[in-house]
Amino acid sequence: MPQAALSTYPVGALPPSRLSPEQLAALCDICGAANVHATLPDRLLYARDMWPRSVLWTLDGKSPTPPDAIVAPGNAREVCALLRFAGEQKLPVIPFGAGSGVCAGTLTLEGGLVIDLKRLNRLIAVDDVSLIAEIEPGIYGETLERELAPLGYTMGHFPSSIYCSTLGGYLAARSAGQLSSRYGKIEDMVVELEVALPDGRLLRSAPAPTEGLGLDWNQLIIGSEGTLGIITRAFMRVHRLPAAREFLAFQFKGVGPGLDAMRSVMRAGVEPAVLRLYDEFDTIVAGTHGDEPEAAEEPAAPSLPEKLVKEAAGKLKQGALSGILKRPGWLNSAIDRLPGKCLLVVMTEGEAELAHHEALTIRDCCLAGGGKDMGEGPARYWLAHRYSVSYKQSKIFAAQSWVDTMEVATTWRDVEKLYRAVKRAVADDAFIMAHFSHAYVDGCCIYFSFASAKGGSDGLTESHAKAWEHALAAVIREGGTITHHHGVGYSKGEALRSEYGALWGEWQALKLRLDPQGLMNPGKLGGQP
Amino acid sequence: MITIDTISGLATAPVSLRPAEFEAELLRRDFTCGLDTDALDEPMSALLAGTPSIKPYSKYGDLSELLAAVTLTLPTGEKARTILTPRSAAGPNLRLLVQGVPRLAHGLDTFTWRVFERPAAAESAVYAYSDLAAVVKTLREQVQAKVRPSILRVYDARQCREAFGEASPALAVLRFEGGAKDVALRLDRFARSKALTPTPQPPAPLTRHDFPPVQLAPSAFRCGLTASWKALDSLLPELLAVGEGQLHLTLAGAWHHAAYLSLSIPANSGTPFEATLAALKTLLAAGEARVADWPAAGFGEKPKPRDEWPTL
Repeated sequence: MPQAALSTYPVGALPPSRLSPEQLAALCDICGAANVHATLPDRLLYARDMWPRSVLWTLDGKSPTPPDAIVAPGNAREVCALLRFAGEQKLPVIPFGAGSGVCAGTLTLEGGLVIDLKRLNRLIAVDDVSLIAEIEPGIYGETLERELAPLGYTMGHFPSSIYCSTLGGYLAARSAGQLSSRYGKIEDMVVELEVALPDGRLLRSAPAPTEGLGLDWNQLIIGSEGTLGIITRAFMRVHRLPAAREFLAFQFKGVGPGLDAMRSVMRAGVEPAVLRLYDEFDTIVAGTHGDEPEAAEEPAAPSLPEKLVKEAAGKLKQGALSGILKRPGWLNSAIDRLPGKCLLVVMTEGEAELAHHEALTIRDCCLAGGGKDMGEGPARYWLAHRYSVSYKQSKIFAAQSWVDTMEVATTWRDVEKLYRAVKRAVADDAFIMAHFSHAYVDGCCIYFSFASAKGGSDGLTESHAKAWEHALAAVIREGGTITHHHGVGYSKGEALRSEYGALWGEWQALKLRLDPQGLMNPGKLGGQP
Repeated sequence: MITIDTISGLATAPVSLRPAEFEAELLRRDFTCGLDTDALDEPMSALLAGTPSIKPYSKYGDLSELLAAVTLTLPTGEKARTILTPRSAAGPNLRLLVQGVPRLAHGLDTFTWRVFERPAAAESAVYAYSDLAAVVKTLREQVQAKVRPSILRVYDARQCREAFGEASPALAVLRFEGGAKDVALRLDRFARSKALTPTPQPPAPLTRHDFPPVQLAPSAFRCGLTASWKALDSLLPELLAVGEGQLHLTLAGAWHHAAYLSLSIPANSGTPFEATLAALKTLLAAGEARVADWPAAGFGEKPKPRDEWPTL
């Protein structure tokens, strides 16, 4: 079965809303007239998220199919009423948080109702004995942490999108924060969910831990990207604010030794807040910012590839790389000849005694693995600049290029193999670099950044599509998961079918059981519109 | 029968294996599955299908964190597998769908488990306390600070007396595993907790295999509950009061936000039994606790969860 088709329109020729005055009036009755929007600018604004291909469309004066209306309920009762209404009227429903997803998870493929959940934005309560916070889904991640901090808590979820993403979005797409090795991914933090089902019923899941209690609905709703229902409230684990932090950094002679050190740290039973290894080029981009130990011998003069790559890294930082990005194969080839210098940044946190104990253990593991101590500098620098990277992307788009990220995961045995396979697969399509983070006892995530100006202004969407096709094929071939924390959305729907294999039918049966009319976020997670 | 990816720490085996057999083979190859397998009698298939008779607990994580992947035969005869990856954002967790839907769980063929190098050090400690609430509070604070014992039991006064010959209101049995420094640090943190006033330890430290079985008649009522720590604060004294000294309480699992409580009471104890059963049902109906295990027969239907979700 082919994936749902995409349509784009010139911004000046968008199709009008298909909702009748009676339908709009009914929506106003549910949410209040101030919370129902069907003007052209509103519909245009909600027609896409931050999927790079739709950013390219916008730069080209085009828009994907817009929603027929946007509604912003103020409570769970209104969400349920909207779902009942949509079911009666057979209107597609697209739940919406902050619109910062990068996988086309909120594209309104055939119009319908966007339900914007940002009015459900309260931190309701914190159980200070069990350390459980009751939270509404529309709250921004940064706002949530800012409200928890004066109470002495953190949820421990710090994605790089924290200023422009919501709790509901994290839950919908199985998000991960930068400190996930200590606090877990979002699915590890969930105790209980309140969910509005497509038929308008409001149900609470059984609280975790749920083994022995039958089907774990928490873990079926999380990651379902609004295709099974709408989360209206979440009960999340929180932690006391860390009393102490320790910072470390090490340089390794290549990705392989660095990965070995990461693995030995995680197998030693410690839970570092940050354990992040940059590949050779990403190390140059990130900058070492370290306390360079005294050199035992005169440093060798940099080779020509090294000089050129450092110059390219400088341009990338300034967003002025379009000339080089027209020939990504050349840059990738030069990077492959770089001397192996990979930076690992580490941060531990928690009670002072425990954070220090973990730092000592990590230091032992890294030194034993051949790491060179780089002092605290690189990790402190990373912490200070941890949200900066995404804001540099707009410069690359402005330079008639595209940039995108792909986060995959696999077990330790296959991490380096998967990394090299993806690099090979897209070497001629895009310039590619990566870091390794979100480490677990059995594996880690590889976070690729790739960019290209290939094809010129007329061919960017095609080169973007081709790079993704090649990259995902490599991931599937090597047995990795196609996404660690960005989700699937529309953009990885076909790849999801490959990942699920024979279980695809069971996923479809689950979807049909909860959403028999197929109205919930159609066309996502490989579904049909 | 068992294959181990020693680099990633993953062991794959058929689900017909019993947990103790699995662990014995792993230990032979210097790994552990992280579970207290002595307490698990059923084959892995029962554990994975969510029907164990005791709630698994370990410092290495919940069962959902320890199980990495499964293979199965679908009702159609087709072979299927869930992806083997540390974490994923590729839609809902289908492994839990497989485990939670009986028609799929019955088809489980193999499982892949996150395994750990045999710890360099392991220490057990037993503390007797003068206050059950205090030991529960200490345990909670340590677990929330990420100091998790690999095995834990907290016994009430009746079990202290019957199983250990101790006259204390509470007894905590803890086991720590890991590197030598790590074990020492974690033991020390418990030992110097200011919230507690340990009474002298029983003379013989317990090992993993020495956790005392509670000897009750087969007709005794037994059930397992999970409850948030906050709910536990009121639930424990209430149950102990209505049980009138006939109740056996064991705290046998501790998570960041919740604990697992195993309780049993002789069915022929008259008023204490009736009152305990009534109190339990009231707590469960109010959502203060959830049933993890309930007797298969003789004590009424297993209380249903607060909300009825669709069946699959």
